Amino acid sequence: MDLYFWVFASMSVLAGLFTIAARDALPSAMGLLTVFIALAGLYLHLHAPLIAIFQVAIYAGAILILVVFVIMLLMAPGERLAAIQANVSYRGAGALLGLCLIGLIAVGTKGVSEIVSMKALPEGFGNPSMFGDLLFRDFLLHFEVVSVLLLVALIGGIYLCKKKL
Amino acid sequence: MSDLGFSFSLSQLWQVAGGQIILLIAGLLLIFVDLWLSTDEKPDHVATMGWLTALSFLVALKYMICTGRTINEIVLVDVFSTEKFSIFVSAIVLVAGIFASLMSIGYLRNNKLVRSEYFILLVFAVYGTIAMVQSVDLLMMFIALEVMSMSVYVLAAYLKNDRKSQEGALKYFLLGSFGSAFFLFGVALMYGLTGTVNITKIAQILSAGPLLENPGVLIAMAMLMSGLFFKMALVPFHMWTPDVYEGSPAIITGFMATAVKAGAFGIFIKLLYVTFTPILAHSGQPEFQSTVNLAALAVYWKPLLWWLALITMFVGNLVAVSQQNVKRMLAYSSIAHAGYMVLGILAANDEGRMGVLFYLFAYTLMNMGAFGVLYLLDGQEGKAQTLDDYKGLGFKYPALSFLMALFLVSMAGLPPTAGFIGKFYLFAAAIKEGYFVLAALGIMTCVIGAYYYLRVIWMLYMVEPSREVVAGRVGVPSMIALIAAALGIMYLGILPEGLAQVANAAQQGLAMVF
Repeated sequence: MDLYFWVFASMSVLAGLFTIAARDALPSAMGLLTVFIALAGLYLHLHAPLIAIFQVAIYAGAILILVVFVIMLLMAPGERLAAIQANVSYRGAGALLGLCLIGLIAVGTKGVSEIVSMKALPEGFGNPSMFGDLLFRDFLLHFEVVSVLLLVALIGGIYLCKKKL
Repeated sequence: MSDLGFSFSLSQLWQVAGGQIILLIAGLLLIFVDLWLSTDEKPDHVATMGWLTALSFLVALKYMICTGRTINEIVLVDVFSTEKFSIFVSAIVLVAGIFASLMSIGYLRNNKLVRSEYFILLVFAVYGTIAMVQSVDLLMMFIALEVMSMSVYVLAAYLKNDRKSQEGALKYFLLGSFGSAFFLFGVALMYGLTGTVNITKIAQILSAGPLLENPGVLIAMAMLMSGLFFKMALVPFHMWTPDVYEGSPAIITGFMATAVKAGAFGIFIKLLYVTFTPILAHSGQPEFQSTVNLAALAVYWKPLLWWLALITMFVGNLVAVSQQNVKRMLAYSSIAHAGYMVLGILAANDEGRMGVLFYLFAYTLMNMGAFGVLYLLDGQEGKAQTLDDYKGLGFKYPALSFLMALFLVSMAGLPPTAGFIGKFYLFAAAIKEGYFVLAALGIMTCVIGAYYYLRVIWMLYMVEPSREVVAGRVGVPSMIALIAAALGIMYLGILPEGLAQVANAAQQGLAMVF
């Protein structure tokens, strides 16, 4: 019985349920935040501290802020999700998609467990400094080309979004 | 763990990836040139940027072709390679880039689009394509693919006030990202199964042992291939093509149909042959002898390519017949041309690979030429693109109409043009491998194709004009590009041996990627 796993796993599932059941948009977003943080806890448990940091910084930090902004901009104050949630066809489609997803995950997990047997982790696995080492030695060229990608995206973004150049 | 020594020297980097570095420096310099010129008269500004872009492509082309290399200098730290195959495909991309930048000067002027971000994005698009073609590393392929796609997405949306351009670009972005996601998923699966992203090492690991029987390998292969099928626009991965090609600026459409397609075909051939066929065993190196086992995978990918080639040729040609818009018709025809080239890949012999390379080069010349004339007759984007507009133009604009007729005859595959020779090589290779039925059906689709190409020529010369069409001003750069393309097509149609020998040497270089 792995107490650490069960605490965070049940936390993420319950928060996920709360996210889809909440009647207001903002508490729903906060539920999502809890899911992200609980998942970060699970990643820490899997010896992947860097992924946990990314999870908190990118998902809980950047992406959730974006979600909250969208809620702020698009929903009138006091507007509730109840009308959308009552729609039967949305619910039906959601349930169908959810079942398909569960099926896919089950098949995938079975496949992965057949391919990958239990292994002892190498020394220093998942250590952030090891990531950095790989990034600046074996994958140095990739790292550099990604910077070109960002530059291109920047130029394109400015051209497309600015009305008067 | 903490020593950060580099595993390559700068001179090695220059030796292998020099062409890319030239393009990167050119792209960065052009950003500053753009700022520096911004006080000038606008149209001159665009012309200067266009000429500089063409010049930088020319310098990169000169460097890549004329640098001698020994066999030990081909691969840089398992990421980039400069064997002859990559150089040949890069040369095609650069030639398409030169044509595109020269014609764009006139295009931007005729459409009163005097922003020069266009050329900066064009340089980065060519850079990304070449980086993709040169890479022998799945992860680098993906990153370079994204650099290329990102630049082309923006270029497709360059007509900011045109709804069609915006719609096409958004479709391209969404479906292109979808395709890239497939590719990335394939990379992840392959890495999970073999523990490496280098394609020659993957070939060695797969051929060595039990992994060959693993369904995971087949799934990874299917995902990598379908990601590239999106970029190659094979049926049924072609849904985005007509809308994007119709909406984008005409020159960018030409660029997408030639350079981007050449890049996608180049990387597809490299990935397929090096990773999943025994081509490395031809290199004579003892450590690659075991790759002969990879021949077992042919039962999976050959039938797939057989059907893809067939439906691509049929759908592309049949749907093109019913198009009234010439630009959209050329979009469907480019799908059909991709089908012919798949025939050469399917044949999997020396002639087939040589044929694909030859065809890519010839197709670049005729397609860039056709889009060049199309933009000139158009005047301003979308003004005169339908078959009705082309009626009787042969007498009003004899030179442009003659060039259009020449490019279309070449696309239809009639002698004495390069298009005929290219098709001849491809179909000959397929027949040599015993694909008689497919070759026969393919030739049948060529005949369907000839109908809609020749219909345009009929409209140009044998029908009375139905409305007034005013062509745009023909500038010097566009004239140079069009004449060069026309001469190239005629030359390759009459004396194809020179390029065929170079292409043959290039495809043999594929065995040297290690």
